[in-house]
Amino acid sequence: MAAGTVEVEVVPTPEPGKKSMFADDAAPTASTVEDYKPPRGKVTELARRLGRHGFIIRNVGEFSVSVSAPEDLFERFFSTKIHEVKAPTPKDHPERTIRAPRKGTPFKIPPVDGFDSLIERAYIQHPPTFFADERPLPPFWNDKFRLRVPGDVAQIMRASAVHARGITGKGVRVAMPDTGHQQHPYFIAQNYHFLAVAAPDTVDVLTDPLGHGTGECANLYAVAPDIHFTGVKMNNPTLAVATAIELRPHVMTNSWGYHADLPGTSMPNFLKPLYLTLLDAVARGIIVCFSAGNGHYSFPANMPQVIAAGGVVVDQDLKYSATPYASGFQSTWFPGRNVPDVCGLCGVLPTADYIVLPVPILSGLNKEKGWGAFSGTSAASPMVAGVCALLKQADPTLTLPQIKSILMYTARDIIAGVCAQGFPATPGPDIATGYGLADADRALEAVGF
Amino acid sequence: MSDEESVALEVLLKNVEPGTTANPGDLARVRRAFESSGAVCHAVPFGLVCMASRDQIARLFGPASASVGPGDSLPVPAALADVVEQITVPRRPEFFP
Repeated sequence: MAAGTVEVEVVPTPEPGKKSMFADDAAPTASTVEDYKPPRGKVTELARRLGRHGFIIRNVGEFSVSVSAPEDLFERFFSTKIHEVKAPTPKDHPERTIRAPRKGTPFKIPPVDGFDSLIERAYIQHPPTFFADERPLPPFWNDKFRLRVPGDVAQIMRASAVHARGITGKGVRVAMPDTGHQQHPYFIAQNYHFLAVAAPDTVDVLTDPLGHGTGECANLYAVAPDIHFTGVKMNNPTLAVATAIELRPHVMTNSWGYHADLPGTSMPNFLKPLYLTLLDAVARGIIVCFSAGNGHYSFPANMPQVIAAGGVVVDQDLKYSATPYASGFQSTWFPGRNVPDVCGLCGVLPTADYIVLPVPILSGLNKEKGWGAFSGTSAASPMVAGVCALLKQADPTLTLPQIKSILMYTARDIIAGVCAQGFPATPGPDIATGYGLADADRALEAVGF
Repeated sequence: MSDEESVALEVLLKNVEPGTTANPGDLARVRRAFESSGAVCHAVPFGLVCMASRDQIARLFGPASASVGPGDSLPVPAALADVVEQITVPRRPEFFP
């Protein structure tokens, strides 16, 4: 509702012999509701006359006319006064106010243009309370050590220091094929640039039944808050990636894959179209990031052309280690290729419920009031992609191989813990964590920022 | 056509290099062949993704192919063998929460 504007339902007077919905004995039911309907011509005529007096007609309904009007027009027309009025709320709920005539304030149907015989009543309509009620800020759950977005993730990925230097991902387009992306109140409160689109084989673009895409993109925003983000709701990943390519993003992040690169196997035919589509993305200059997997031997993270993001956990004593929740493996399909290249943050066994992330309240990952805690390597790819976006803002000419190299050689080495496949993190590059935890500050320093 | 009724077929054309698009003539010919059976096709970098019902798949590939499932390959029709490399049914990936 625009400031200083009211939304009003104007109800026509009942015809002789018909019932008023405001009568003391009114008790409409599905079978008697017709008795309360004014003639169509009367509602239309009322709308026409209200329009003549400056009201904006929103809808001519069966029982009333929906109009908008500036508050001063409403006040003049009905000889009344609008005030800030306290709205009824349940016990212990925050106070809420609405703008309406106070109880006892004069209110008169004007005797001009026949309105006094046309209008029975008029009521200002107020925005309802939505019971979905996702909270715009992450909750504190004190049952165990957890990270919250955006601050904790930005600090540990060392992006906060980069933000302070004016590098926030501004102007960089990042696409993310995933389960869907809901415009969560958290994103609105943070002023993020958010757009959701659907691949051609999906529907309900703004819904996210699992909550995975909605939650994981918060990790991306934590590292690169000023990106232009587009979530692509996916069904068939090939179509979703093709849709993302058409958006011409600078960076694409993917928190999914197939448990497929197993010893003694080669790429099955059904994955070749997706493989070629991703090669096409790389050939078009898109920086493509993939999650390494949660114990999976995953494709497409195993593609040498992409940046594979594994997992590092940081505990309450700020000790960094490889996590047995995250994949680290040698590819069978692409000899010489180790996954991951670098890492983002990731939880530990059994459930990796580590980072508190925003989700639709009715989604599968919701824990409480529109927030969940889940952070496998799905969280790591968007964090690494966020660092890529910061680098792209700093130097738009950087290519995928250059960015990958910068990420690897500026990462913080991890020397403790093991990955899901049992490989230990050791001094220098290793299979468990690749080159270590991505470090936004050092990466940006490497390109002169 | 609803999602429940349709199967995605990924039609990989021959000689398509990453970063380029398929030969428009080949693409149009393959598209016509699939769309003539009622399939709905989307152009992608390697060729086409076509959404088809099981009845349409049976008409295109024979009755035995109607039960095709995720990860399966379908025989390339002889009339398209010069331009089509393979036809496969994609599988849903896993998310890594």
